[in-house]
Amino acid sequence: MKLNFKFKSPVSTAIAIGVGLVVLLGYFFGTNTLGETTSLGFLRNYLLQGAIIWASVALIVGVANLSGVHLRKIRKKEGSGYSFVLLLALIITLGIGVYDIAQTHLHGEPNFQRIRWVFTYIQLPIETSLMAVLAISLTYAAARLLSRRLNLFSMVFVGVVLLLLIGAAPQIAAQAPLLAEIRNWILRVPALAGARGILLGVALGTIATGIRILTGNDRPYGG
Amino acid sequence: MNIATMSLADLGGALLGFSLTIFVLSYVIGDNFLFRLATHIFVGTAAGYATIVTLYNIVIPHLVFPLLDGNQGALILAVSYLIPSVLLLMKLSSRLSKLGNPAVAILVGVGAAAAIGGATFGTIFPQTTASIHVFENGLINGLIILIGTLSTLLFFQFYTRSDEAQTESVGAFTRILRWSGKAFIAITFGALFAGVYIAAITALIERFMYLWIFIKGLIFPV
Repeated sequence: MKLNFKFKSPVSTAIAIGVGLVVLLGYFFGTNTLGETTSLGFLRNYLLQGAIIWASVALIVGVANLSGVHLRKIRKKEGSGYSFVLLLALIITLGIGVYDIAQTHLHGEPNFQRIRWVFTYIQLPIETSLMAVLAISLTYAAARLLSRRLNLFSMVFVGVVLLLLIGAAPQIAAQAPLLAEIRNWILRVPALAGARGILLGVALGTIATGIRILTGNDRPYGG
Repeated sequence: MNIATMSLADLGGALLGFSLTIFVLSYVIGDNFLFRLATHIFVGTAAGYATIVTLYNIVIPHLVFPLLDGNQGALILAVSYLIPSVLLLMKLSSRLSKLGNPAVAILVGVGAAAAIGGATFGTIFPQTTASIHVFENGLINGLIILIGTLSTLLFFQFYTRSDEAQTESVGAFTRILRWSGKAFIAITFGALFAGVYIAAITALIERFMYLWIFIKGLIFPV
């Protein structure tokens, strides 16, 4: 059976623009001169609270979609072993978590021992090990940068990296105080200047993207 | 880590953590079966864990409890949140997914407005204020920070495609500023790289310590 009623793009676009404008105006007119929350402020808070809840539901939709993708892979036998392992890990974690939540609400046992076990002995070792592998990948990437794209900027980049790494060693910094001074100066002055420029650039880009959405030029909601 | 005094669950967990660490570190010799196995376990566990945290902290307290509570005000509020939530769930079905568009539109609209507000009040205002007070660090340092900030900002180009031709005809002064912006970005990325590298090395040392302590605990249990 095909549904005849459709939420066409104008409806979704109008909703996105309307809701966005309410939240945006709420930033400026959310409180009156006495500091009390105005009705616009209440509406903004309601929508922000709602956004947290809907984002959570969207996360659950995302996890369900992930499961669907891997179920399809198992059916089509495309790397099905890995997909099976992923789904098994997901189901076990969900099962343990739901059991812990039920224990908390039904028997007042709010310690989440089992799900904490999963975090401590599965998630934490893998996350930390991935971070550790990053050290090797970064070394390789820096070496490749020097061998493949040797120019002034790559030399500045690698020079700063070496200076900061050497300067970070406490014994070397104690032996060569000038090196520590230079390291601190790089962090306090040129690196700060670049970071500030990048931050401002990112913020301007964010505002431009936000305005494109609020004016209906970008419609990432399938409108 | 004292293996002799560990419970069976903790011992099993430590053994699992040890194995998973080896699996991930095996990537050093190249992409292999063990590494892929560990990453797939990680994705499954992380997705499950995130779902549980979300359910416990947000969905159950804000959508489920108010429905059972009996408080009429809370019930109306929960239902008003529940309707877009149900529409969002429609996204799971290919036939009904269009019904979820309005709910996604609300989410995107709020997100865009919150991003504009956050970028304005959280980045533009504080960073501009800090740039105003930049000469409190001394004249030369202040000048370097000011030139660095402006030239880095200038290096990012906010042009539409039709304006691209105009960018070719920029003056020598702007070109020099952009060039220096590139140098400041190289220094900043170098500093960020060094910071991430130190964090990664710390994680590597921690993992080797974990492996060593576990093996030592197995050989000398007490």
